[in-house]
Amino acid sequence: MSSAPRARYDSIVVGGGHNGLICAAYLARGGRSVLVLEAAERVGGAAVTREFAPGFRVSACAHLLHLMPRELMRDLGLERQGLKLAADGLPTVALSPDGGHLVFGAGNVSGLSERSSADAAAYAEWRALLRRLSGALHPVLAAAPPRLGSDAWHDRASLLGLGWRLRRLGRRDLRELLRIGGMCVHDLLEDRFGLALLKGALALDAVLGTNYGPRSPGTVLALLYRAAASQGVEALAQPQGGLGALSEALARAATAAGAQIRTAAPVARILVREDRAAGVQLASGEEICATSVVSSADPKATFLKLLGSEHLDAGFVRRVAQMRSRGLTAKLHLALERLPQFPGVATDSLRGRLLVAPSADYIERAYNHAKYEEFSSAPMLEVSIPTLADPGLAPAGKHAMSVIVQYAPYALAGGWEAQRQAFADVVIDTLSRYAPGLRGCIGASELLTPLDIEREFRITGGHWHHAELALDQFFMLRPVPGASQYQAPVPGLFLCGAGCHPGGGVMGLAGRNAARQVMREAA
Amino acid sequence: MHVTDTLEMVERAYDDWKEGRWSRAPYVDMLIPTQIDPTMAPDGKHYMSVFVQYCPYQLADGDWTPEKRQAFGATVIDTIARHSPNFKDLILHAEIRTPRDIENEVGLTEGNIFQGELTFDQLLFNRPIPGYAKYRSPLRGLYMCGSSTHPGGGVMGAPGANAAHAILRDLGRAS
Repeated sequence: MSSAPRARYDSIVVGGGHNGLICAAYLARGGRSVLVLEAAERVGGAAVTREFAPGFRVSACAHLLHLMPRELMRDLGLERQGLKLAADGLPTVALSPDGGHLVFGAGNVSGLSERSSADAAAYAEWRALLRRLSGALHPVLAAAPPRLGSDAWHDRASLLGLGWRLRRLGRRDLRELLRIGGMCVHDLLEDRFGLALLKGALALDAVLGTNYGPRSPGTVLALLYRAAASQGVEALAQPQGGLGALSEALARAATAAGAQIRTAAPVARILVREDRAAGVQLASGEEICATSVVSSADPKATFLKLLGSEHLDAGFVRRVAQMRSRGLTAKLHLALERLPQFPGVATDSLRGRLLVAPSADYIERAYNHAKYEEFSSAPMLEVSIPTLADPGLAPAGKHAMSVIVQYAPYALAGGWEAQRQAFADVVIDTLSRYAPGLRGCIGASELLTPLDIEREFRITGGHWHHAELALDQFFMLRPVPGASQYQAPVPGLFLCGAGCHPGGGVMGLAGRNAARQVMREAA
Repeated sequence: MHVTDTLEMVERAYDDWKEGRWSRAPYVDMLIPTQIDPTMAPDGKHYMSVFVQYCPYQLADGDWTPEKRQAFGATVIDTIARHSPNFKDLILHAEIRTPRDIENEVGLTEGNIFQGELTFDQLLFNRPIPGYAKYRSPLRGLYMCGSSTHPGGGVMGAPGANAAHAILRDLGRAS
C-alpha cells in the first residue's frame, strides 16, 4: 500500500480509522508528507467489515452510513476510489409489538396519519424545524470550535459566524432552539407528540451510542447534533461490502493524495523531544520522526498511554482521566440460514433499519438497569440485515444480521464472561417478539460487549464516540478544555478522532477539521 | 436531616416516580422546628415536618385514595424509623399531604411547589412560558407574580418584587 519509507515525515497519523484516514488525505492534499500507522492488519478502525462466522461478513462496529456529509465524500472522490453504495435512502422501521409498524421514509412516515393526524402534522413540523436548525448548526460541526478570549481572526470569525447564523434563524426558531436545546428528549417528545411508537423511534436516535436514557439531560442536543451532521436529511446508506469498503476507499483517497499507510504497525509511544512531539516509537521498537503527530486514538489512550502523563500538567491529566468514556452499547451479529419473517414489514422496508423501541418509557426502563450496572432485561435495538442489499456478505441464500443493543454497561456487575450468553439470549428473545421464527434461522452468533469493542477496536472504555456526547464534553469543551481545538498541550501533538469536536458516528468531520488545524498551526 | 444512604438510593427513588409509584425507599428531608421554637408545640412535645421525594401527582394504578395516602405515609415513617429506632412509638398524630392534597388545599395546580418545574426549558426567558416571561400576560392589565415566573419558587420573593416593578413601569407609562 505504501511506497518507500522516508526517514522523516511532516505528520504521522496514529490510527487508520475513518477520521485518521480523512485527516491524512487532507494533510497530503495540503502538500504534507504523511504516514498513517494502523495497529490492526487493515485500516478502518471501528468502520471495518470482517468475517464473524464462516462465509458471513458484517460491518463489525458501525453498520450504517448516515452522518458523513455527502459533500465530504464527493470532495474526497470516494466514488472514484471504488466506493459503491449498495443502498441509499434506506427506510427506518419502528417495530410495534402489535404489528402496526411505522415506516420512516424520505420526508414521510407511512402508517402515521392513519393512526394520528395530529402526530403526522406535528412530525412534519418537527422535521422542518430540524432542517432549519441544522442549516444553522451544520457549519459549527464542520469547523474547529473557536477559542474563547482569543484575538485570532479565525476564532472571532467563527463566533461571529455562529451568532449571525443563529440570528438569521429568526425570533421564533431561535427561541425554540434555546428552549429545547437543554431539554431531555422525553420532555420534548411529550410536548410535541402523542403516539408512543413514534416517540420511541425518535428517542432512540437521541440516545443511540450514548450513556443516556430519554430522561437524561442533553439528549435533545444529541438529536440536534445528529440532524446537524446529516444536514437535516436522514440519508441512510449502506456501502457495498460494508463499512470496511468505505474505509478502504478512504485509504485509497489518502494514498492517491500522497499519504503512506502502514498496517500492523502499532504505536507504543509518542516521542517528545525538547518539549515537542517529535515522532513515534512502534511496538517493534522502530522510531519514526515527524514534525507533528496527529492521533485518532481516543483521548485517554493518546494522553495517558501513548504520550504519558509526565508530559502534561496535573490538572489536565485529571480532566482526561475523569472524562466519561465508558461504552453502554453492544453489538450482536447473527448468521442466518434463511431470512426470518417480520410480520407486517414489507420486504423492501426490511432492507432498512429496524428499531425495537416501542416507546420512550421502554427505553428509559432499559436504561434504568444500566444505571445499576445491569444489562437491560428488555433492550433497545437497532437492526440491519445488510445481506438484503448486499448478498455478497453471506453464502448464497443466507443472511447476516447486525444488531446494535442498548444497554450493556462496560462494567457489568458480576462481569461479562459469566453473562454473555444470557445477554445474547435476551436480545434474541426481544427480537423474536417481532420475528417469531428468528431462533430457528440462527446458525452462528457473535456478541461484542463494550469490553470486546475496547479490545478489538482499541477504544478505551469501548465508547463509540470515544468521549460521551454530553453538554460538558461538547464543542469548546470536547474532549476536555485545553485540547478542544484538536491541539494537545504539547506542541506538535494533535487529535483527530471521535473524541474531538464534533464526535464520532462515522461522520469524518473531526478528521477534516483537525487536518485544517494542523496546517494552520504549522504554517 | 436527610435520609440518603447513597446516590443510587435517590436514583432508584426517582425510578419509582417515573413509573407512577411513590418511592419505596424515598428521599426524606426532615426538620424538627420545635427544637428551635418550642412554642410551636405543647410543652415538652415536638413536631416534625418532612419533605418527601418522590411522590407522583398521578399514580399509575388510579387516583389517590385515603388508603394509598396512609400507605405512602407508612413508607416514609418506616424509612425514618430505620435511623431512629423509637421513632414510631413517639408519633401522636400524622398528617400526610400528597401533591394532590397540596393542589386541593393550597391551590397549586398539580401540586408543584414551584408552580412549574425548574427545568432548562422553563427558566429565564422561558419562564413560565416563552413569550410571557416578563410578568405580563396576553391580556393587558393581567400580571403574574408567583413562583411560576422568573426566577422561580422556594420562598425567595424575587418574582413578587420583579412583578411589582413591571406593573409600576407599565402604570408609569400609562399615566
